[in-house]
Amino acid sequence: MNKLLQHQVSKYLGKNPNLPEEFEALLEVISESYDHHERVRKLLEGSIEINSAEMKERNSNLMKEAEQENRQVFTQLQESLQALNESEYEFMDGETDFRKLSQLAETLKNETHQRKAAEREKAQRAAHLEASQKIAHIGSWEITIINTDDLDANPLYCSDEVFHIFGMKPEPKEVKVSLLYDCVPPEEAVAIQEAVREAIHASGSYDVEHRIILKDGTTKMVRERAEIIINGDDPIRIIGTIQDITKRKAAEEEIQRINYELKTLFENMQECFFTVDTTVYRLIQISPSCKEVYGHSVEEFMDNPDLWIEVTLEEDRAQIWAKQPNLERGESIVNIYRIRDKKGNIKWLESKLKPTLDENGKLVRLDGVTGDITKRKEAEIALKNSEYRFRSMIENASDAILIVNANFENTYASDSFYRIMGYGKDKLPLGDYFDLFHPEDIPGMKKHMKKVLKNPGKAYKAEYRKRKKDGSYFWCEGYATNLLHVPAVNGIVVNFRDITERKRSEKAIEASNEELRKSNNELDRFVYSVSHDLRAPLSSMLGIISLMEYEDMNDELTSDVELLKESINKLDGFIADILDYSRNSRMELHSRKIDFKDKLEEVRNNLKYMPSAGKPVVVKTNVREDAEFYSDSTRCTVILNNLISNSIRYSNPRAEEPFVEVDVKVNEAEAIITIRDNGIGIAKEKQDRIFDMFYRVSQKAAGSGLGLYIVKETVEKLGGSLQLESQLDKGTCFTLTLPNLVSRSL
Amino acid sequence: MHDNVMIVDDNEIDLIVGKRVIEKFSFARNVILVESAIKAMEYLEAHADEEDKLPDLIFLDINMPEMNGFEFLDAYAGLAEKMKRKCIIMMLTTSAHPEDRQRAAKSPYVYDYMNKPLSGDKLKQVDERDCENNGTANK
Repeated sequence: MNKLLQHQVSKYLGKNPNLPEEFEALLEVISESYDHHERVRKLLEGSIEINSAEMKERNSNLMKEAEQENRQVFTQLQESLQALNESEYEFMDGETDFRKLSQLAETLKNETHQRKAAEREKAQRAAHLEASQKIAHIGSWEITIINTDDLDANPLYCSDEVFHIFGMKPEPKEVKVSLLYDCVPPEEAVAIQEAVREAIHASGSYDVEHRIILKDGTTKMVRERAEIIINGDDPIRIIGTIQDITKRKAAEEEIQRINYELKTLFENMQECFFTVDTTVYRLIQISPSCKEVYGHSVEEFMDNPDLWIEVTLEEDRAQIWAKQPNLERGESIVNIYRIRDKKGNIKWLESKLKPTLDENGKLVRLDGVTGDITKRKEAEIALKNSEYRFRSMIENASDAILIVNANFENTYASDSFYRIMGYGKDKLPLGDYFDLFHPEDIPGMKKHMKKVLKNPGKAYKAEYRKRKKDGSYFWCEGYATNLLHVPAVNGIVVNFRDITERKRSEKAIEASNEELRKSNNELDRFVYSVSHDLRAPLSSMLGIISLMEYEDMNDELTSDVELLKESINKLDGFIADILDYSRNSRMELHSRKIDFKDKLEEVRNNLKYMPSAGKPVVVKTNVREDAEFYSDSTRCTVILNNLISNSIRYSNPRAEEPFVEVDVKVNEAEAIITIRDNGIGIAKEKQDRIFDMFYRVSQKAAGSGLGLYIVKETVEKLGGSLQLESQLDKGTCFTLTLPNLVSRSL
Repeated sequence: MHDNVMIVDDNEIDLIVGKRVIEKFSFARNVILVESAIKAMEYLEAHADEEDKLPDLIFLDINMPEMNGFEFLDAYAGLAEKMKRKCIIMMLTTSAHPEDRQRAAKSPYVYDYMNKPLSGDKLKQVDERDCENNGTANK
């Protein structure tokens, strides 16, 4: 058996296997054919060796042919590869390396494969890029600078998105730079040019934001970023992106604004925010405004978790604790309480607390805000107090107060109303306003109320009779004001009071006034007739004396008669003064027009026969009336009479030309009257007393001592003033100022 | 010199004084004294047609019983024009009441107002006044 076969059999079946005969026969056959094959092979090998020289030559020829072919293929491949890869493969000349060729083919295959994949990927990437650019509003572009002088001469490639951003239709081919550049506002173009120059010469890149104005007028904000690529002597290329940031910019601005608002809000927030971890009872955070609210700083609160309750007034603490269960149930609460701040001021605070419970329903966290509501609270309290005050005023007022609607139905009645109407605590239902009036007064009151209704805001007074519970009538004085336009009132406010008492006293006053007037008149008549009755005999006596004077009498008798006459004159003057005084003190002012020329003439006439101390006194008058003068005529006469008669009475007996000069100046406000004489004058020390009642400067003269007193009283009555200037032996000057009572005469 | 001067006064002494002064100064040829306004009216009515008996000047007092001076003036208004034209009325009174003076001034018949007693100076004043008015109201 063939050794090789033997070896194989023993390997599988053991050294001396007991093989079936048929199998051994088969093995014998296989072994023989195997041996045969072996022999053939050996024969063949021998023959190959014999023909190898011949073969070598043939082979050599074949190889040369093949090499020739390969070389062609190789060159072609190389060209392809070169075209593909832009890289060069060394062609090993003279080396007929087929492996190299297959290697080359393999490379080519790979290259082609890679290239296809790359192309696929590139296409994918391009699509992807396109989509991303669209989504991100970022367009990309590339420009090759060939001609720095003419920008448009440089080719510009743009992605579709660039055109979209510029509001144009995408163009696959290169476009002119100016097409896009023209969209930049001129004022910003300079800055961009500057950035580009800077990038080319120094930084190598730029990143600018600028506006573009589209053909349709839309303004967009774009961000342009670019890299400068310099490749040896190659022209400069600029690769860049342009991004539409209009929306982002607007959003940025919006965010900035909101941030600013929030900042302002927080900075001006007077409330203090805080969070408490209730599981460990620790203040997690508190806003700095706690300083404003409590006067205590954040640190103080952090150091002392009980600070907030310590500053709370003791009497207000209970109500805070009372709400603890609500918090534990997860309910938000509001506490209003007082604290004493760091400075010791009492403040009203309002805290809003929001609890957070965990999954087991346990209170774990409190968020709250506390505000100072002192001002609000004080205003509330003030309002409450004032409302209370007004209410109690209304309820306790002696005035009854009703509010009546536009249909004249009572809508409110104060307690005082029931009290005044005699109902006491039994209130009667509100009814028609005109109920409870005296039937005779109702028509008038209806008219009155119509007037009130027509004139909102105006108070109208009326007097009427109302019927009490017991049916009796009483007099009321009431005011009605239409306040229907005032929402808080929305009605006609009527307040009235019982004026029975006043009516009675008014009547009493009227009666006593009447009586007084009567007795005044009687007194006036009495004084008048008494004075007349007293003066009549005196004038008779003077008449007789004057008759006696016409007779021849001896000197003694003549002087006696003169004394008698003097006494009678004195008595007569005294009676006249008393009359003047009495009239001035009792008579009312009767203002009427006064013509001073007439008035002085009248006075001059009155005093015509008045004896002077020496030579006759010349009365000079000078009147200038720039306006009509109104005053009490009788009283003016009394004043002028007295002052001028004084000048005559107290004239200087030694004077060559005794005079009294009366100067009157009238304007719209007053009359200024100066009465100047060159009489005996009044000593300084006596000037203070001359206006006193019954004071007489001189015993010699025949005055009553009432004259200047009456003048003073009368001037006062007229609202005027009187000044005195006097020098003994030189003269006296009275300056009298009387107000023009124009308005009183109307 | 006046022909007839009448003095109306309830005061007897004043009548006498008046008469004496008028005579003393030869103010009138004839002085008619009546002690009341009523009597004065009676006189005037009685002698309405006797021109030589009618006064051309009356000194009239104000305060008199029954009919006072103003009431007399009211009655006087009802007399014949012819008589009134001839006659001047002077108020002669002790009244210092300004109202009396004003009231007298309002009467168309009153020429002047003077206080008692009548004297030579006052008679002179009447004449002066009379002269002043001669050219106007009286004629």
